[in-house]
This record gives sequence, structure tokens and C-alpha cells, in this order.
Amino acid sequence: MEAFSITPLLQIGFYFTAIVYAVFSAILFYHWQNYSMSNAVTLQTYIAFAVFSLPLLAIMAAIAFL
Amino acid sequence: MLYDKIELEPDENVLRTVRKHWFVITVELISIVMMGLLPVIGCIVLLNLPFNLDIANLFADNMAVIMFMLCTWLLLSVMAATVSWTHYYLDLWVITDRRIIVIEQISFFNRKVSNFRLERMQDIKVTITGIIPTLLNFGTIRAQTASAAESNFTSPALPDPRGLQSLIQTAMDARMASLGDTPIIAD
Repeated sequence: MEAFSITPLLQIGFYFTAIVYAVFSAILFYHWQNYSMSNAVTLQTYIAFAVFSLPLLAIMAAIAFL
Repeated sequence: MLYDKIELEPDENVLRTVRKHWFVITVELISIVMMGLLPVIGCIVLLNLPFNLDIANLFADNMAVIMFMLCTWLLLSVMAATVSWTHYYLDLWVITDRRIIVIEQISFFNRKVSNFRLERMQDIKVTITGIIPTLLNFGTIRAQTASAAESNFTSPALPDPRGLQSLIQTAMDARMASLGDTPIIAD
């Protein structure tokens, strides 16, 4: 009996998370572009979101594909 | 930007823009950070338990899955914090010398923008309930207009509610005077 590999499940999980993340980012971008009162705060929000979320996505990708 | 969409009238001046009190967003963000870090702390505690359980081996065997799930959880926490901050920042009162514009970002797909003309305002009530709101000076403002009951509005956790009440009252009086009317002063 072959050993069960978790890698395909992690890869599917990563793809699903990446899609959710992309949709969420698009919605976030739309709201801040349209309804914000300050360009500076909008930029700071984008930077903070990217700084906290992209490394996590990168780690997930590394776990799933390397 | 938002001011382009509000379309202020000619000669209309913005007196003040108000967001909810900083305490509201601070409590929300601290709660989200604590929830986000809970599984990480849980893992650290499990790995450092004094009695002899085979948890270290369990973690070593499933490290990839555990790390992946922790990252997913942390990513969801980051998204939750961003939603919280977005709702806080995009929720806004704009007080002008002619009207109050109340913008409520209830959720991403639920946004309510209401205009209340100062000459139609009848009553403004301020409620400060509890120890923290009293100490930090934030509370609820309820305003009643001459229109239908559904056009009355309530906004919780606004900073310096008495100052806001005073500002609105002064703007109302000035507006009534400019329209050639005398404000009705309640007993």
C-alpha cells in the first residue's frame, strides 16, 4: 500500500487561499480607492497589508511547492 | 477620493470630520491580534510541556501541515484586522455649515450615506454610559430631524460628544439665522 502524500492537499489549499486573497485584495483596493479621504492613509494601509500578508503567502507557497 | 463624490454645495464649508473613538479600533485590533497568536502560543506551550508526551515527534512528523495551517490562520487574522481598520476609517461623519453627512461602512458590500440638513434638525441627544466612555470621553449621539422617524440617526462611540453637540447646535443656529429664521429653543 502506497504512503499517503499530503503535498497535493497543501497545493490545493494554497491555490484556494491565493484566490481568496486576490479577491479580498481587489475588494479592499476598490474601497480605499473610492471612499478614502486621504491618499497617505490609503498608501499606508496598502503597505501594511502587503507587509503582513505577503510573507505568510510566500511561506505557504514554499511549504506547498518546495 | 470621497470629497469628490459627496459634492459639497457652492460655499459649503466642512466644519469637522469625525470618526469613532480610537478606543473602539484599538480594542478590535488587540482582540484580533490575540486570536491570531493563540494557535502559535498554543503550539509553543505544547512543545514546552514539562511532562513526557510525544508531542515533539508529532510536530516533527507533521511540521509542514502545522506550519501551513498556522500561516493560513495568521493570514485570515491579517485580513480580519484590515477589514476592521477599513470599517473604522471609512465610517465617517462630515459636519458642514449646512448639513451632516453620515457615512456608515457597515460591511464591504453595505455602505450607507445619509444627509441631514441642519435647518431640519430638531433635537440632539448625547449619551455617555459606562466607566471607560466617561474616562475617555466618547459616547452616542442621537439626532432627531423634522422628517420621518427613519431619518433620525444614531452614532455610537463618537469622541467628545458634548463638543460635537455644541458644534452642531452652533452650526444649526447660524444656519437658521442665515435663512432668516429664529431657532426654537426647547425648555
